[in-house]
Amino acid sequence: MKNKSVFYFLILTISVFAFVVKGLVYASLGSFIPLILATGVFALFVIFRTKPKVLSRILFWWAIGMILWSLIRFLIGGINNFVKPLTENHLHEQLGIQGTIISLLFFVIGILLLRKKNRWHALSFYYEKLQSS
Amino acid sequence: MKMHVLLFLSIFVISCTPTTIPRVLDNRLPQSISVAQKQIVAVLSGHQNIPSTTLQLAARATIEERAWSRAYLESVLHQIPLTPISQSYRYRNSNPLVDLLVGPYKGTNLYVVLPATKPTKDCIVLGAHYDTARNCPGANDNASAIALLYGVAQKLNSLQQRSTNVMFVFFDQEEEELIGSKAFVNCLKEQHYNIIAAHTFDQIGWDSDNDKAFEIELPSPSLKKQYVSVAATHRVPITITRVNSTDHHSFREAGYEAVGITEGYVQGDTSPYKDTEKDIFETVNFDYLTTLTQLVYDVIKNQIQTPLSHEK
Ligand SMILES: [Zn+2]
Repeated sequence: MKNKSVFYFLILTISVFAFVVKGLVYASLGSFIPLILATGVFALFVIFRTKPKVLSRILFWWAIGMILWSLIRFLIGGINNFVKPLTENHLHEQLGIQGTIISLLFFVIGILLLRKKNRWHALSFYYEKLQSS
Repeated sequence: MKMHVLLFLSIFVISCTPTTIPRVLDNRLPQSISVAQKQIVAVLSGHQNIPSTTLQLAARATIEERAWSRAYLESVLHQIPLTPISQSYRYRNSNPLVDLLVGPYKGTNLYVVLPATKPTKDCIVLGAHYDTARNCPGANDNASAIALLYGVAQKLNSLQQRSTNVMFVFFDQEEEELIGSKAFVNCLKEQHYNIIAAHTFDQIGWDSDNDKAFEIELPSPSLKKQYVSVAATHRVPITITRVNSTDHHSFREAGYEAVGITEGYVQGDTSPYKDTEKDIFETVNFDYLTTLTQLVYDVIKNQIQTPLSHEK
C-alpha cells in the first residue's frame, strides 16, 4: 500500500509538472494559457490539500483531463496517419512515434490516477501521514 | 512495480532520440552563375545527390530533410564566400488550445550579411523560404528563389562599392503559417541594423509563355517605383498585386517596408504543381530565373548605390 501510494503521488507530480514546464516554455514564447491552466490546477491541489473529498474530485477531473488530452492527440495522429495526412508538418512530426509514446504515457497515467481504488488508497495514506506528523 | 519500470523506460526512450547534425563537406559550384543556379535547384529538389553524399532530398519538410537542406545551403553560401549564421527558434502555435496539445514550432533560419564597403547600419533584407510542403520536391517552390538569391549575392559581392549591408535569409517553415519569417523578424528587432526594406521571393521558376512577366506583391510606393523602373529598362511586364500569403507579410506586419516578388501567380502563368510531388527540376524555366536574377540585382544595386535611409 505504501509503495502504491508513493507511486500514485509520483505519477501525479510528473503529470502536473509536465504541464507546468510546458506552461513555462509557452510563457517564454508569449502564450500564457498553458501556464495559467497548469498553475491553476497546481494551486487547486495546494488549496484543498486538507479536504479529502474535494481533493478526490480534483484528482478525478485532472485524470479525465489527462485521458482526454491523450485521446485527442491519438485522434489527430490517427487521422493524419491513416485517414488524411495533415498539411501541417509540425503536427505530423509531433504526433509521430515519439508523440504517440507520450500520448500513451499520459493515457496510462490518466487511467491510473482515475481509478477510485488508487485514489482512495493514496489519499488515506496521505492523510495518515498528515495526521501522524 | 512493473508499471514503474514501464513508465521510466518510456521516458528514457523519449529523451534519447539521437540527433546528428549533417554536414556537406565538398561542394564546388561552377563559376558560371546560371550553371550554379541550375545545380542548386537540382540538389534542393532531389534531382541530384547532395554533394559528398549519396542522399537525394525527396522534399524539404521533415526535420531531417530541412537539416540536410540547411547543410547544403551553408556549403553554397561558403562558396560566395560568406559565413552563414543559423537562427534556431521556437514559436507558439497560432491557437493557444493547440499549445496545450502539442509543443511549439521548432525551426532554423539561415542568414548571411554581405557587408557594406563602408561602415553603416543600413541594411536591405533579401529572403526566400527553403522548406516545402510534405513530399514535394519544391523545385519551383522555392528552390528557384534560393537560386535567385545565390545569383544576386554573387553579383553584389563582386561590386567594388556597397553603401548598404545586404542580408540574405533562407526562411524555415514558410509553408506553416510563415513561422520562420515571423521568428526572423523577432530576431531582427534585436539586431543593430537599420532595415531599409525587405524583399522576399517565392516561386521564380515558371514562365510558360516566355514573356518574362513577374509580379510584385504589396510594394511600398518607393519599392514599387524601383521595380517598375528596372522592369521597364529590361522590357519585362510587371504586375502589382495584393497577395500577402508569403514571407513579406511578416516584415510588413512588424512595420518594415516590404515587397514580395513572384512569377505570374495572379496572372495565371504560375506552376500548376505547387505543393505536389510534380514540382520537379524539369519544370523550372531557367531562362526566366536568369532574367529575374539580373533584374533583382539591378534593383538592389540601384538601392545600395543610392541608399534610401529612413529618417527617424
Ligand atoms: Zn513558397
